[in-house]
Amino acid sequence: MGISEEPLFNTVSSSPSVFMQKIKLSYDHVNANAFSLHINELQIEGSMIHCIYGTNGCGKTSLLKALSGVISINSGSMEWININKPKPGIDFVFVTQAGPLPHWNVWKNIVQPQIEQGIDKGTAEKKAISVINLLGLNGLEQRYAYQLSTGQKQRTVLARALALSPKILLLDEIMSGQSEFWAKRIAVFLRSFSKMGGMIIMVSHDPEWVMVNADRVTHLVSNQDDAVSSTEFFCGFNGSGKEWSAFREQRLLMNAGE
Amino acid sequence: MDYNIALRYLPDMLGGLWQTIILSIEIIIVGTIMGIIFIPLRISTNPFIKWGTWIVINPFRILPVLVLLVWGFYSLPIGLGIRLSPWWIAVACLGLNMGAFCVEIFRKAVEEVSAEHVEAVQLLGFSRYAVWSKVILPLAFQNSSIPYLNQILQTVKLTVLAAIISVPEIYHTTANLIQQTNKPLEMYSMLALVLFVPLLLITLAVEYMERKIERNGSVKRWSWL
Repeated sequence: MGISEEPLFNTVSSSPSVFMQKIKLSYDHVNANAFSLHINELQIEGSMIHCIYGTNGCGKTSLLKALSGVISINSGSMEWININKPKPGIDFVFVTQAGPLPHWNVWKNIVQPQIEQGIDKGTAEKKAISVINLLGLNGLEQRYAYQLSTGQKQRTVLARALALSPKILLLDEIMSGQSEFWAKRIAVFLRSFSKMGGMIIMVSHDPEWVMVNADRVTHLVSNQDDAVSSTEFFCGFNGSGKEWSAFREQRLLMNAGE
Repeated sequence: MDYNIALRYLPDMLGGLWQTIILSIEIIIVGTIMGIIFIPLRISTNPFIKWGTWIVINPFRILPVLVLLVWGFYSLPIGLGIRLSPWWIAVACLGLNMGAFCVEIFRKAVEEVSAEHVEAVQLLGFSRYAVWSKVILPLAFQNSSIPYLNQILQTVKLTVLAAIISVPEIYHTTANLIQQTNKPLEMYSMLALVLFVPLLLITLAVEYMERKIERNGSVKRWSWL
């Protein structure tokens, strides 16, 4: 086991980025009391690990979904630079919290999505072996989702995503259930992915991991003192990971939720 | 008790069983096809289609099979002018009854497929066709297999009711034999025994499938029980 020698990530020649302006996200049409997220201006650059942080229900996953095009934004503009409307499976992969497909084993979970993209079987299997080595899933290839631990499930879906060699990775809490060893390992290859020009937008709940590894942090906050009952959220902080720690300390002191 | 007489008429009884088996197979085919045809209508997002289908299908689920059979037998030829042999009336009524249950079994199985998984594969760039053929239908098939097999078991048992409209299946055969021989105790014992064996086999098949699916992990094992 170990990080494979051959380069796993292709260099992304022109790194994509996205520029959002006056975004409003909400599920008003479903539920009048649903949350709403307002983002005045936010630029997410490629070649960086960009973390989105915030309390439960503040719209982190919804923001990722809006970026992927699963849900549409209520108003505002979202402009992709260096890339035309990203296509799922080709330009970007969104690693959701759903876990591997229950009727396929780990191997098929990693190989089949590549075949669906028209990659031939030989190449797909070679790629699968390298991502399996990278994420330490050796020996688990024949297992089904119910035979995996939470961390192993998350690594399987991450492997499935990496095997497609996307330019953009949207990661929804992949660190949940990861051991310290794997959290560090994942940080290392996310770093090498971003160095090659890839774009990483991830939702994370682990402030220490974010502080150490994120290049940029977007912290979604509520303007009200009581974030628990709040339904309106804003982009409270957007800056480098190092500056963020001070902001977070201050928020915690204000007792206004993370 | 004279079991020799029962043994003498065993071939007739087995002939009736054979008719029951053929009747059951035909009913199962009708019911399953009906179930499959109505899945897209029942999972439609259009409420008129969805609930319109419910209204059309559910009388066959709600009404007792016996009532359906006698209603079909008397009202189809007289009321609607449709002339069918009792056999085909039985196939139609029991088939529609099974079909109505199958529609709901299959609908539930499709709806039980986790939306998260479907969304995840859409985000991996699966085509619409691949999402259905590689993810939703295999998972729905797994979800539906046990309730579907139980429904088959139920339907096979209900076929004896077709005797009331003189379909020559096993119960009807038995009743005829009783009239001929005047030995109800022996004949009914024989009927129970002859029916028990194939139904036991189906029951064991259902249990085997249950264990197999459990091993596949789609059903959680309640190890704390």
